[in-house]
Amino acid sequence: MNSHNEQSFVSKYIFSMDHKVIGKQFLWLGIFFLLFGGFQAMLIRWSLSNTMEPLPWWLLGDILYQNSPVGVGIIGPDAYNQLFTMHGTIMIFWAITPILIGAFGNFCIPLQIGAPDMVFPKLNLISFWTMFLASVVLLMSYLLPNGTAAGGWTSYPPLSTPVGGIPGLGQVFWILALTLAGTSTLMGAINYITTIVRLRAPGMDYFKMPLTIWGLFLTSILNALFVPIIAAGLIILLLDNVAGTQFLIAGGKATIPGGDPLLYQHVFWIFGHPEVYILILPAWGVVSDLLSVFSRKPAFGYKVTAICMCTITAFSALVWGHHMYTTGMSPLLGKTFMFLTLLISIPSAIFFFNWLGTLWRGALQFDTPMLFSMSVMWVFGLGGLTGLYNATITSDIYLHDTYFVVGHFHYTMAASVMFGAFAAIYFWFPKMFGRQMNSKLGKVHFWFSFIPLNMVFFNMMVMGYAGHHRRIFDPTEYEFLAPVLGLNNLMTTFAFILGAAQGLFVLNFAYSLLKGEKAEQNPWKSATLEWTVDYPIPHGNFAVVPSVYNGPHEYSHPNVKERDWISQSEPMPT
Amino acid sequence: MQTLTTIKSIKTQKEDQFTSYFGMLIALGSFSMLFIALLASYGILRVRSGIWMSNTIETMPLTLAWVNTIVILISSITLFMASKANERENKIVTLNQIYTTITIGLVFLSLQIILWNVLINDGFTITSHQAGSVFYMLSGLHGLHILGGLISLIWLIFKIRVNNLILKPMRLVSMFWHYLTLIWIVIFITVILI
Amino acid sequence: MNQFRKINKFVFSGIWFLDPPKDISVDGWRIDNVIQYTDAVITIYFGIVVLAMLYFIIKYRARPGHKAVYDRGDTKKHVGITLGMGLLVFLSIDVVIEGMSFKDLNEAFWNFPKGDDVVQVEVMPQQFAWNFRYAGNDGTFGTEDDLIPSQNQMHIPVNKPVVIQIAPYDVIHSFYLPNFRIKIDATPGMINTMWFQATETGQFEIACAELCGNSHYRMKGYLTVESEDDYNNWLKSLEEEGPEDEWEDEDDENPTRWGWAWKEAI
Repeated sequence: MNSHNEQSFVSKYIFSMDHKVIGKQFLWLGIFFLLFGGFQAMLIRWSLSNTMEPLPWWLLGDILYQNSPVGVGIIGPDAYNQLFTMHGTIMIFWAITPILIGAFGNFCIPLQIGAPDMVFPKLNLISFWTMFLASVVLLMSYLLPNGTAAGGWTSYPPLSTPVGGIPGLGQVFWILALTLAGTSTLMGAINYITTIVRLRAPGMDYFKMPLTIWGLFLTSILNALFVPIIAAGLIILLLDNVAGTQFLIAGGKATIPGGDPLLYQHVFWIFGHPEVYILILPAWGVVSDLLSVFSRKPAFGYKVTAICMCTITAFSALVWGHHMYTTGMSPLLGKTFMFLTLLISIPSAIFFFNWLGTLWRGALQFDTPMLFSMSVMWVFGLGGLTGLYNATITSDIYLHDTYFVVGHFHYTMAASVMFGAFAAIYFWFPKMFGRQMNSKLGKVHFWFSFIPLNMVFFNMMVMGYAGHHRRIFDPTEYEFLAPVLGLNNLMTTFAFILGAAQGLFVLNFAYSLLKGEKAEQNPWKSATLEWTVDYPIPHGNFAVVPSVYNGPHEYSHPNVKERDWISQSEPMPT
Repeated sequence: MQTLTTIKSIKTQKEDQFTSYFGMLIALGSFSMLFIALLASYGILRVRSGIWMSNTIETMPLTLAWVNTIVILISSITLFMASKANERENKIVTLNQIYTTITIGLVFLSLQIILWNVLINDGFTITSHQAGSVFYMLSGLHGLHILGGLISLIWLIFKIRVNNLILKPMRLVSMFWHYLTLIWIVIFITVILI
Repeated sequence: MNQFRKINKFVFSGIWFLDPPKDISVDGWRIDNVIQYTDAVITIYFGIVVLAMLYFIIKYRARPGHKAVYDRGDTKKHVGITLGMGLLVFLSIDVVIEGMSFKDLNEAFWNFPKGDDVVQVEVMPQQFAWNFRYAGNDGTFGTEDDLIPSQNQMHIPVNKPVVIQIAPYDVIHSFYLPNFRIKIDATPGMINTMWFQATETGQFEIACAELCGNSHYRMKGYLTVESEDDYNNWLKSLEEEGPEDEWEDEDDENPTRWGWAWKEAI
C-alpha cells in the first residue's frame, strides 16, 4: 500500500477510487440537492398560499423570477408547473438516491461486510462522475430560455412531447439528465451486488449481514432490473421529442397512426413502483439496525425481517397497475393489481411488528439517531396504512390524483426515507468524519422537523379527502375547494418551519465537521464491523481481514459479562 | 494509478476472474431488461396497430440484412478464435484475430449505413410510420453499442500489447461483443424477418 | 346503516376533519363506506401502535439498574405471533376492503346501465376546455343532428343513469366530478367509458384531474343537473341553434368536427 503515500490531492479527493471518499462525494451532492429541492418546496408552498404575489426577500424574491411574464418576482402557472416537476425529480433522483444509496451504500457496504473496498473501484469512480455530469445537465436546464421540464416528474406523454405544447428544450434536458443519473445508479448496482456476493469476510454469512446491507442489496437488485426499463421509456420519449417519431402520441394531433400514450405509463410504472421500494429499502434496513443498537438488544426476528424484505422486493414488480386504476384498464386486470397490492401488506406488517419487538424489553437510549429511527416507525406506519386507501379501487377512484396521494407518498418517501437518512447521517458521522455532531442541536432539529412535517402532510391528506385535486396552481378557481383554502395557509406556515429547521441541521453538520468534539472509535457501542476500525480509516479498511463469529446485533448477550455488546469479529465467550 | 492489491490478496486469481465475470453478467442482465422493454414496446405497438408497414415499402430489402447478419456472426467467430488463442498464450494470433474482428465490425457498421440509405430512399424513414420508428430506434441503438464494442476492442489491443496476455479483459470484452451479436439476431428476426 | 356511519364518522374518522364535497350520486356512499371502514380500522391499529410505543418509551427507557432482555425473537412462538399479527391485519383490513371493492365494482362502477332510459354523452377534453356531444333525435353519434352545447356546459337529467364516453383531442386529461366522487382518465387513442346518476338537481363543478399543461388548474366545467323537462327543453334549445359549423375555426386549434360512433362493447 506504499504506492498510496504519494497521492496528489486530486487523486485522493477528486478522482478517488476509495469507496469512503466516493461515498462522501455522493453525500455532498445529495445534501446539496436536498436543500435545492427543499427550497423549491418552499416556493411551491408560497405560491399556493399567496398566489400571484411577489416572493418575499427571504425566498429570494429579488433574485428569482425577475423576467416572469406575470410580474417581477411572481411565480406564474408555467413556473409553478416547472417547480413541482423539478421538485419531484430532484428529490427522488438527486437527493434520496445519492444520499441513501450512493453515500451510505458506498460507505457502509465494504466496511460492514469486512471488505477492503468495492469490487470494482474504477466503476465506482465513473459512477460518481456520471452522476455529477447528470447534475450539470439538469442544472443547465434552468438556464434555458423557456425553463425546465414542466410535465410533472412522471412526464406523461403526449404532454411531454411537442404535441403537448410546452415550449422549449427543458423536457429534452430532463430526459438526458435522468438517463445519465440512471446509468450512474446502474453502475452502482452492479458494484454493490457483486461486492456483497463476492467480498464478504470469512464467517459473514448472508444471515449475519446487518439489515442495512440487506436493504442495500435488495435495492441494488431492483435497480439493476428496473432502471433499464425506464431507460427504455426515456429513449422512446426522447425520440418523440427530437426525432419526430410518435411512439407515444395518438389522437387528434397524431400524424403517424399507431402510437400509444398508455405504453409510456406502463413502462414508467413498471419501473416506478419498484423505484419507490428502491428508495425505502435502505431506510428500512438502517432503521432495523439502529433500533437494535439503541435498544441494546438484537433486532427482533432478524431472519423473518430479511425474508419479508425479500418478499416485498419480489412483489413490488407485480403491482404497478395500482398507479393506473383510472386509465380505463380491464376490470380483471384492475382487480388483479388490487389483490397483489394488498398482499404486500402482510410482509410489511410483519416486519413492522418486528420493529416493535425490538423495542420491547429493551433498554432504550434516545440519542438523535434513535429519535429519527423511532419517528420512521410513526411516519411509515401512517404512510403505509394510508396506502391502503389507494390500493383499493373503490376509494382510489375518488382519491387518485388528489392531495391524498401526495400526502401518502410524502409520508412514505419524504418522511420515512428522509428521517431514515438523517438517522444514518447522525449515526455514521463519527465514523465518516471522526467527530461527533452536537447532540442537543440534533434533538432540536428532530422535534422541529417531526412536528411540522406531520402538520404539513397529514393536512395534505385531509385536503385530498376533501377532494382537492393535484398540480393546481390556483385553488381559488374552484368553489368546491373553498373550505380547504384556510388549511393551505396553515400548511405553508409549518412548511416554512420545517424548512428552517433544516438550516439547523446544516449548521450542526458544518460546524461539527470543522470543530466538532472528536469522537472515540465506537461511541454508540455498536457491534457491526465498521466500528472496529478507527478514523481516519485507511485505504483498504482492515489491516487484517476480519473473521466473523457473531451476528450483527449481539447486544445484552448473557455470555458477555462486563458490557452489553460484543463485536461481530470477537469470538463469543462460552 | 491506484491498484487494489488487497483484493487480490484475499482471492486467488481465478476467483477474481469469476468476480468480474459475475459483474459483467449482472450488467448484461440489465441490458437485457432494457432490450426486453424496447421489444415489448415494439410488440405492443405492432399488435395494436392494423397496418404495420406502409404502402411505399411492403417488405424489407432482405439481402443486405442477411449479409449483415452473417457478417456479425463471422465477427463473433473471429473473436472467439482470439480468445482461444489468448488461452493458448499465442500473442500474435490473438492480436491478429482481434484486428480482424475490428475490421469486420467496421464492415458491419458500413453495411448498416448502406442499408439505412437504401431504405430512406424508398421512403422508409424514422417518421414515415411506426415500423420505421421501431426499426431505426433498435438498429440505431444497436449500432451505437457496436461502436462502443469496437472502442473496447481497440482498448483490448493496447492492453495486450502492453501487458502480455491477460484472461480477464479478453473475457469481458468477448462477453459484450457476443451479446451484441445475439441482440442483432433477435432484432433481425423480430423486426426485419417477421 | 346511518347510525353506524354517524358514530363511526364521529369517533374514528374525525381524522379527516374536512368533509368531501356534497355527494349527489347514487353510488358515492360505497366510496364513503370503504373509506370510513378503512379509517376506523387503521385508527385502531395505529392507535395501538402509538400506545405501545409510548408505553415502551416509558417502561423500557435506559436507566441505572435496567437491563435489556436478550431476545432474538426467532423462537417458534415469537415468529408465530408476528406472522399471526400480520395475518390479522391483512384479514381485518385488506380482505374486507378488497371484498367491499370487488362488490362495488361488480355491482356499480363497472356495471354499466343499459336500455332506453340511459343518457349517452360523448366528452372530448382539450387544452383547456371540455367539449360535449349529445346524439340528438336519431340516437346515433357522429351524425348531422348531433347536439353540441357551448364549451364546458354539460346538462344531465336527475335520477337517470348517464353514460359518458371520453376521448381527448390532444393530451391526457381526466374527467373529475367531485360531487360524484368519481373520475376517469382521457387518453389519446383510447375511448373510456364511465357512468353515474345524480340524485339532486343543481349546478356542480367538473375539474380536470390529470396535468395537461399550464392552464390545467383552471380547466373547469359546469355540470347542470335538472328535471327531465328542463333537460329536454335545453336539448330543444340546442337543436334550434342549428347544425355545427364544421369547417370554421379550423385555424384556431379548436377541433370542431369531432365525434365517434358509440362504442358498444360494454
